[in-house]
Amino acid sequence: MGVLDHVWLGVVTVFTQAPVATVFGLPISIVVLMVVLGFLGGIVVGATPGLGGPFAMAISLPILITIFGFNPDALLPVLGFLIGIMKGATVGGAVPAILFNTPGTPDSLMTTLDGFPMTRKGEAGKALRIAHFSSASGDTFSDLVLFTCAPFLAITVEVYLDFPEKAALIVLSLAFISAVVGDSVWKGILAALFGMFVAFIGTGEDHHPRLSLGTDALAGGLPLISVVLGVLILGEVFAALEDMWREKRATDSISTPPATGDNRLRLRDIRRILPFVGMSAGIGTMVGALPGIGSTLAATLGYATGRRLHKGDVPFGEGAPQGVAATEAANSAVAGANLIPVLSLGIPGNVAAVFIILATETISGFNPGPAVFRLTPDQINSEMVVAFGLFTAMVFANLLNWTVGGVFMRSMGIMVRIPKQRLLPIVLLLTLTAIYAQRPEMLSIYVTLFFGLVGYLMRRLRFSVLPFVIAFILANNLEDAVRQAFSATGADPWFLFSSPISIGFMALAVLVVVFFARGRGGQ
Amino acid sequence: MRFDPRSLGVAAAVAAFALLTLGIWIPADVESGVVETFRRRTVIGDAMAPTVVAIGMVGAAALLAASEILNRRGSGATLDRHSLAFIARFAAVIAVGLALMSHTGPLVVDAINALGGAIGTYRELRDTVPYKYLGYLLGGTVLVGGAIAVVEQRLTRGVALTGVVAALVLTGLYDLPFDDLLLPPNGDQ
Amino acid sequence: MTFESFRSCAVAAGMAGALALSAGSAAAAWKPSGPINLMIAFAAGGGADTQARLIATELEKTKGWKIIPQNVTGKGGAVMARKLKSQPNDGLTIGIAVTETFGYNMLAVKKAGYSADDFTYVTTTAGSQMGIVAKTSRGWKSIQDVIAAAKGGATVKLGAMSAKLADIAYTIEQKYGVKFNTVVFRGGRKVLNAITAGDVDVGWVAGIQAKGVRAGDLVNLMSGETTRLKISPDVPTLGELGIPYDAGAKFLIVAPKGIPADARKGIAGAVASVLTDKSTKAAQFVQRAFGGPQLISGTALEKLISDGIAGSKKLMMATK
Repeated sequence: MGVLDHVWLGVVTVFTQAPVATVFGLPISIVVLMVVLGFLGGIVVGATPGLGGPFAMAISLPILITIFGFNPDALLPVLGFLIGIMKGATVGGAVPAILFNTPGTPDSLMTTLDGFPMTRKGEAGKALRIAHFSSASGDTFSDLVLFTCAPFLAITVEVYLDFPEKAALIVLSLAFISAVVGDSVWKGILAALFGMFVAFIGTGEDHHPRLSLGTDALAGGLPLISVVLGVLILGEVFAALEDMWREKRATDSISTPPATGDNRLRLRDIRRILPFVGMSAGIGTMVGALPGIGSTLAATLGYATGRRLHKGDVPFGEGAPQGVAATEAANSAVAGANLIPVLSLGIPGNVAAVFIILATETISGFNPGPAVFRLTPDQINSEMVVAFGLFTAMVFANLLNWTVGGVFMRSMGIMVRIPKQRLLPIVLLLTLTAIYAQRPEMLSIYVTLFFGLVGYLMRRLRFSVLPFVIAFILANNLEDAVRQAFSATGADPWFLFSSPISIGFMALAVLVVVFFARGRGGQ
Repeated sequence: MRFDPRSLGVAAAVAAFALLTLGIWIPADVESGVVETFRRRTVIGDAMAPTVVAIGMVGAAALLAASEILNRRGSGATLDRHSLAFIARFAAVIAVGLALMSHTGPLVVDAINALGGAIGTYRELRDTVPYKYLGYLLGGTVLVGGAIAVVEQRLTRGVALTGVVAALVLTGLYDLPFDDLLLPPNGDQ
Repeated sequence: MTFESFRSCAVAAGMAGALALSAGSAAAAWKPSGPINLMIAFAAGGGADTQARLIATELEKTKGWKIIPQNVTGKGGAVMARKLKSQPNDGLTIGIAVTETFGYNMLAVKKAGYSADDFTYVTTTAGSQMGIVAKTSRGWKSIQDVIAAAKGGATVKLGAMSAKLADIAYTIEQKYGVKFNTVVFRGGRKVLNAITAGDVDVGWVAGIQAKGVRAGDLVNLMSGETTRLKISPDVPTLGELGIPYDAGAKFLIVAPKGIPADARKGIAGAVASVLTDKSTKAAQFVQRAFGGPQLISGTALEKLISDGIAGSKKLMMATK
């Protein structure tokens, strides 16, 4: 049996497994239904400020297992639903970022930089259309790469990345993000260091929880979701409400952005953003194919590269459509390529991929690893059939994205009609409730509020929150990689400089900081 | 443009925090050292990561202060006494809302028991309608309504209604479809 | 199925059946007065978490109890233990952790904040299938091949997910006069990833290697349990190598000290009846992920805990 036989079997399974209904004489398989439900649900979740795809996946995985069970038959419906959520939430995530300046996940943070200024100029509709077009394009490109290169790429990459290279690569990403985002390199680096410090509280290898001040509250480490959502969402809610409070005191009214600008997506617009979409789709796909590096980095790199390329009349950060396009194409392009390390090595690159691995771990019949793409003469490799079934589900979700996705996503834009001073307090309660639902103790609410205050102060003192969030997420990975590299090399103090690749990464990290520090200093 | 004293203040505060962490917090509250040798093997200890980061903070704070003084660009910070006034009001609303959320249910159940109701403790009723919704609905309404009232600087019927509807809708969103999710404060009981 | 595995299955089923019967009458007598909080000391979504949630769902279905699962993770179960300790002992709050939480992990820290006497142990549910694992493509068949390779001058990187397993690896090094570069990871899944990716040569894995072993990609080189591994009955145990420690662990349900005796029996009996009923999803999952239920309760469980503490103390002395 050749590869093409497996591809065909995968496609057939997706469209024929256990039909549940008939539409116009065509049987609708359970897998198709689950992808559609997941995709539409994902858009709603992504478009709701304060919610994101990972949260929806976390809630739905146990429910799906209860419904479908653990047999191999459950694999494609469950994974199809998860993939639907993943893709829907990526597209939908642009909605709150553009309309309210409140990104649901760190991935869409860079979308706010130009998306929200466009809304203030009255071009919310255009911003949403550009986000959808770029997101769907990046997604398509990535899926094509996945379909053609999956088996070969991941194994090649993994061969070249050992512990020291992984540690050096994380250092490079952090240096890059700190230096590029925000208006001062040193502020960016301080924010990143602070984020790392917060991540070190209560963690570590000792049985004594370090820096926990003897409290039970800090002993388990600060919960990721409380810190990240506190800084990203509550910080923005506090700052935005204060702005409106000041405006009301000064003028006795609160202005709402008009919708009078040019809101169409014209051929001219597409021509203008196309180079940025292409560049970002490539970056996102490459980053996605690297094991263990997330979509947030892809979005940041896409945006930063776009800013270098850009020579238009509207600069990045003041409502340039190219900025929205560069970010959305990059973060969407991660999704497909990310399945390369997931399926062939079982190593996730972002939170969404973690849930796909958890699902395959719980349901029998699919074991992510090199065996997935192994061909045996005269035999069907059922794991490869599942893998290609999964790819088919992704392409199908992508078609949904092009057809109904844009319309459905823009219909979520109705939320812009709600006055912001009414909506943001609801977002506050929604976020606190979502956090409590995941960690049911009042303490997690207090921690979230504290980090909301931190996020507010950072905004008021002009510190960028992105380096803080990324450093917080990557800090423990970095510490683990460094410790593991040190142990694995038998306590070589120069382990970070043990191979040309890691020396290259470290040198690049220093160069990035020096370059941007000098560039900014001269302004 | 003159340099902004707030940036220097931040730099000084960060440096002071980092020095305190290096001198007192890390030695007192981390078990293993920067590098440990045990089982005839040298490994990195738990103190390594926070120590490196704290040293980095001192350095970055010094460089930030230097660049602010040399460039005199102004930091663009907008934190002033109006901000403090707003945050104080907002914090009061959140405190009242969360207090109502935590205590309404148990207080109502205690009151019913005191009046001879004998319905059991709140701990036993934390998954029973209507008791499980009392705190969230009242606290959530006050939180949302109060926050809007602070910003709009008036409390209208529409504002109160927004609070009630928001709390009701969110209750339905989280509690009805998902059997295992708890609304505040029922996980603490 | 070999006779050995048939016999162990039959014994386990028989024991569990007897337990279920003896607990049956008590279970009828005890009914929780409200919803039960189940604190899970494992991260959401993993095998241990799935097991706990499935047991909870099944108890709700068959017993009509209301159970609210909640993940309380950190420090090998210590965070959950400290929180559970101070909860009311009315049977409405229970926790699920591993035996190591009340053994090595508790002894390894100066101020654990809890002791083994702070809890009432209800029942175990299943056990690990701990082994040292390598990729089949390395060509090693048993731990002896790894030791020979290390003696021949090769650098052997060994992945471990806890300090206890690193300690036991060190006793192997001492015994055979070799040196491994031991690398500590957070969790068995990461060790397995590192083995697959070639970042380490061998590593401790607690049961999730079964799929890979069945597929022929991975191979168990040694059993860390006191018995041979169900899936690889040909490789020796630690004891057979002359190393008197138990690297295995069992999942167990605990409650704050002094819950009513009928509640303790009632919960143990209810869990046993769920896990021995082959038609439940919980039982099917435990069979597939952990090779079947292991139900130990009452004084036998108390002995298991105190034996574990004694063994951990001995291990710590030996590796000081």
